[in-house]
Amino acid sequence: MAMDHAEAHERIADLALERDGLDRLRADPAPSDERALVEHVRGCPTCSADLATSHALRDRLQLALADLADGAALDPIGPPDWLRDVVLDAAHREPVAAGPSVAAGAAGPSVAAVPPRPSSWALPRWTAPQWAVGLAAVLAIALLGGLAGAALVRPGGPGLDPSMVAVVATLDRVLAEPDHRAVQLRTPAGTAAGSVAWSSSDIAVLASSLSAPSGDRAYRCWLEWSGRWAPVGAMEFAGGTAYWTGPVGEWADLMADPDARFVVTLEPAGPPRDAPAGAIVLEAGLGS
Amino acid sequence: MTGTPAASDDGGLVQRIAMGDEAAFAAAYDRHSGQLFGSLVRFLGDREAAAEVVQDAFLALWRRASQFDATAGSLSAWLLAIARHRAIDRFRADARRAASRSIPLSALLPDERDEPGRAASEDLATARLLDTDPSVATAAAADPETVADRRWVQAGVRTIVSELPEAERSVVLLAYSSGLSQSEIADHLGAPIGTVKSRTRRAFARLRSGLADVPGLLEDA
Repeated sequence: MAMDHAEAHERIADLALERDGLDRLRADPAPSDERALVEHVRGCPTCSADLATSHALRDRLQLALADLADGAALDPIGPPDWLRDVVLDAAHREPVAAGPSVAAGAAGPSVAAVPPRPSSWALPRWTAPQWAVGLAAVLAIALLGGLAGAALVRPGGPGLDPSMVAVVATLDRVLAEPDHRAVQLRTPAGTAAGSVAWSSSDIAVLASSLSAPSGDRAYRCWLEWSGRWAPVGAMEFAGGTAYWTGPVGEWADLMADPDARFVVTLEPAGPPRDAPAGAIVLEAGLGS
Repeated sequence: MTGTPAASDDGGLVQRIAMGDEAAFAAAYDRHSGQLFGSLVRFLGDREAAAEVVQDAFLALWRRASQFDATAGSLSAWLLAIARHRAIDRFRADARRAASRSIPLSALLPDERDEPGRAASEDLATARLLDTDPSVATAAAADPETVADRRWVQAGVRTIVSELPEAERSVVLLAYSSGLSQSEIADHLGAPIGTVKSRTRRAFARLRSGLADVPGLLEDA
């Protein structure tokens, strides 16, 4: 039986805990009990990046800690108090050079202002019972829902795509937070085709059903509530997976609004608009 | 550890810094100086030198905040890149000085003209400087770039590990420094194996996130 993303992620995480566990996957032929994982990873950029990152983390930890003579070397080292005064004083005495404005995106993923939000929304506390779902279940939504069935084979075999590393890192951060949430993105016909997972600090959007757009088009993510729109960002492609990741930042209130929707549209390329002009291709109610 | 919530609004902070907002600059210092200083002390082995580099990095931020591009990486990564550049310059200069001080030791070798022997003495001096074994110093003599890079990565990883919660740090340390398996760690700590595994997995998630935030720490492995 073919392995899905959630199982693969879980298995990789388990193997990473075992001494030389990850190395078993490099054996040729692969051990029979790991064959399904190896097969899956071979054709899946996300899980391939997951595995490569796990390898890299293991290697880095071995390099950094293997010859550590004393655990005290890992005690936190804080800067001396006087340094703060010195640095702030030096800045105070030095005028800031006028320069160009901070590059687009520096203030967050959106380049357009988010319209004012209803003031009645209190940011709800995401309670454990509401979101007490296990890692596998969440991954099943966040990854299986987002990536299942995708033609993810990349010429040259699996490798460590930096963009996938970043996506996996963001997913890790989201899933490591106990109060994270995830909803399925669906096509207008109601087919599950992707996912939005978010924590109090990050959002990760994954979709496998989208074809790469032509050069004059782009998939854009939006938040919609009460007929109002906030542009979130343009999706990127890796393999057959469309994704967007970024900080929750200014959308924290909206992401906590159960009546809001997360929407993906196919838009003309160019600067983002205040509201979508193209067709909705995916959507999810944040309270779903 | 590298704060994700912090990273999420660093862009806004830098925008304010670019406009001369000293409060924003202080907030950026409070947010990022710990990781920067920890990495530099571990890399340079000298708190005063580390403090100087931290100061340089933050003043570079103050002067060049308008050039910061959040789409190209996090503020933490930007500061670390500046610090790394300056720290490696210092490291090389110190290594050269240490190597030049090794001449009297060369004289004790059988043949002063013997290049391997001279190299060995320099390695020994460099090893003292690096507080590491001579084999590493041999590599330093052969390829100082590689050794500096390796040492920088080591310092960065140790700093990020040091910022883990104590319970998670201890299982990582037992696994990678003491070489214990998960069940051996459970025995050592007197904790259920499930607890040890979940701690380790949480630690890995944090480490992956923290390391991925710093270019060169994870993706080039």
